Amino acid sequence: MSLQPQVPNDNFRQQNPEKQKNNDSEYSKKMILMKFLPLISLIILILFFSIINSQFLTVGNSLNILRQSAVLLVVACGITFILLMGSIDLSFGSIITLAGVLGALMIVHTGIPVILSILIGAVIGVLCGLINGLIFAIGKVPSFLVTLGTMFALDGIALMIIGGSPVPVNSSGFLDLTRGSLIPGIPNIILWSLIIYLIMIFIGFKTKFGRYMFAIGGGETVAKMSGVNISRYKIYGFMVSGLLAGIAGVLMASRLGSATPRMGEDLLLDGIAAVVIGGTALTGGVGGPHKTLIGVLLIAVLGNGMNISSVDPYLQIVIKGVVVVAAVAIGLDRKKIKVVK
Amino acid sequence: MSSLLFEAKNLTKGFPGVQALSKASLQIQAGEIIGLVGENGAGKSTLLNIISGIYRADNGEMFIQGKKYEPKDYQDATRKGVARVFQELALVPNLTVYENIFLSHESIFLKAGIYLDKNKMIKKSKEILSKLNLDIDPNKPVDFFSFSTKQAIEIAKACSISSELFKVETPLILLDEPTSSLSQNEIKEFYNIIDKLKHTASFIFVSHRLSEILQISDIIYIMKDGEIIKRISSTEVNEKELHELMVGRVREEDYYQENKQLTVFGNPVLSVTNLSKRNYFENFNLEVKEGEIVGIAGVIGSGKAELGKALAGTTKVDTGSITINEHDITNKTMAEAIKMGIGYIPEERNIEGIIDSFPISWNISLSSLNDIVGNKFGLLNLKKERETAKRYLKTLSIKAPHEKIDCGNLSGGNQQKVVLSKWLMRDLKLLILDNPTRGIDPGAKAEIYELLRDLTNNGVSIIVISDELVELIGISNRILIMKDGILTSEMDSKVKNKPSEKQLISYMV
Repeated sequence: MSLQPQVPNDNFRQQNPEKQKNNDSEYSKKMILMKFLPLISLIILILFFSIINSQFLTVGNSLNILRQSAVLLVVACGITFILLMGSIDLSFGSIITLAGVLGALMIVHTGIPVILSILIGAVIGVLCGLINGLIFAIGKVPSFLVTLGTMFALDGIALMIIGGSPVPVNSSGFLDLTRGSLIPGIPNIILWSLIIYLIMIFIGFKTKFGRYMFAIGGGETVAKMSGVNISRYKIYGFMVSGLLAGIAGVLMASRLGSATPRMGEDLLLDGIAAVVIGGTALTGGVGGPHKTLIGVLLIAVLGNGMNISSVDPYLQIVIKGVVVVAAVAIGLDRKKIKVVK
Repeated sequence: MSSLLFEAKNLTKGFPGVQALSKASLQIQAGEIIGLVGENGAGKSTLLNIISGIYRADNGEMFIQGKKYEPKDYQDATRKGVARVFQELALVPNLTVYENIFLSHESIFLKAGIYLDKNKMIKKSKEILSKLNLDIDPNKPVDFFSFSTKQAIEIAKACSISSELFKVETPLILLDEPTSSLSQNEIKEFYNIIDKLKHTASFIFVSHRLSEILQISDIIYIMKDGEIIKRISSTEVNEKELHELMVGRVREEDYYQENKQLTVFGNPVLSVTNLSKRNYFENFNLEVKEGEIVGIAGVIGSGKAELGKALAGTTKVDTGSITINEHDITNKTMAEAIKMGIGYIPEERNIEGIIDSFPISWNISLSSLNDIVGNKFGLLNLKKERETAKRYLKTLSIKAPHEKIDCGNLSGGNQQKVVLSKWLMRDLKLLILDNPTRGIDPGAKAEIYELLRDLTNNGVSIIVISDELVELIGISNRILIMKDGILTSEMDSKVKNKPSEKQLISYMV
């Protein structure tokens, strides 16, 4: 804590309604700019890559970008709720791996219907989330530590099951889950991820659960004093995050045509980065699932654009890091965040 | 004998679209205590922020002992002899007293450029504290001490930094509502400290408690809408006149709406028997009837705050029972208490009452997502949520352009109205309020009192827990007095036959 006091926002405490209106419009102009900054950045990025590379803005590549971002969007939606609560989930990459591995194994060895493999992934995800949530909310262990632990543990379990080698899946029904096109021209994976995205926006803004996620992150004590069962909803939050990671794992296995050890690893940091770039603060209470799409697309466009422009892969990682920090530094609505930790 | 210590000339400060301060001028003699009063939003904070270097004035000049004073930031202001005690204490709880006193000025104690001479720091802090007759061990962490002691430490820090470290002869100390969280006894202690310091420093004292301002200051500046509208000697004015000047309207005799106070009550609503919670309160009994307002008085630490929390169901009790309309809610969840019609307005508005980052409508509906604004499937009725919020914006005249404004942007009084709306929208049977008007300007206060009267007319029972005795006397039908966790006395507070503050205090201490 610094000695600098919290300066009251005097310009909003004025009593004069006319002055208020004036002030409001200037304030909101700035706010609107801030609000659309991630979108503006995305557009600039797309323009940039289409200028330097004629291959970039083609139908084929655009679909490719969407395909690449679909799984990320699914997990990122779940992580959004965790970050809204002011918590963190480091284990969802491992949940993806475990669910993907088990889903693929079931398909290969038992030949269960495709829908059941999704269900298995979902159940595994929910259970992992439940464990995270219980230790976090009831055991009162910081979420960072809980999920750091389960990240290792779940990864270990996945490795134990498949012994370090990939599980290839050839079942055409399973591959069609993501590669087929229920709507002609649009790969299913894009369809599923958009449906899940829309459902999560609905859950975020039209349900009690969603509101409580905002409330826990924005003012846990206030929520408690308003009769909210904090612990229960913290657990629910982790279960939803786990659920989406589990589904994402199976979708990813279908898309890749195999489940591999540590297949979810890359999605961990990309997922958190996408949510934060989209505009959901790590400190909780501010943002929302609707913002996450732009963050996901930014990450995907950046990766794809650099790839097809043959940027050195190591340099790509550096650039990604810089972009993440820059995007958050510029775009985050810091006014609403009291303490940055 | 007195000499001019500080002078501000025509300070002006505008925020986008708003003139927060216009042409404010004031003068402070050495050893003088200046009282600064005005409603919320009158510009007091802006003025203090400019003097303490946090904001820069758009226009105008400041002088300290005739020399031009242009602080670059808060630290620079401290170096030049201006220090500030903040409303919310700016001490780091897990650091020791001496570390806190010299926080951000450690460089003075560096030996050989890197090694911090802690012994010297401790010695120096002991000197500072003993000069003020404060019996405080500088080696203990700040969190070890009570709120009033922490404040004393903060004042000691404010006074000493300039005078001891930067050789400023007479520092100017800005006190921003220093007594708002103190009990009666602690306020007396606080006066003693100020008295001791008076010959070494000058003060600007901001408070909503006008009686305090009158008692402690020499000169009073009255602010309204960003301007200093009057400078008056504290001997020439009384509380009522001061109040009139501040709000620009006559303070009506029935500030507490005593004419609306009920004399006949309905059925018992709340009944509490032998309620005990270790270290807080013991064998507490109470019955509250429909339409009755019961006040609970007691010094800080008397257990009254914890009792309020227990009645509202936010904290568990050890023994005894709480029933509301014959439903036992002892140690049930708060959700259960809310379902039974209990509402609770917490003391710490910004931590327990309002989510700053939430729009008004979200804050109001937060306790009603299970039933009124939501259905059993957990789906929200956003239209109803908006309309409810709009209704309360209007009926409680909450000053905000619309219900989507974040509550962090509202003034204290308007925030409190939002917290009230949260419970008013429910079928309320019992409302428990802990210091409901703390830090709220007199205009909004009066509105809240009126609201409470209206509630009693509708048969709602009310329990008011407050440190402000005048408020308790004015609003309550009867007053319970707690001391060391035990109910020591009960007093009728009938219209035209209200007890005096003195009477209450004699049972409190």
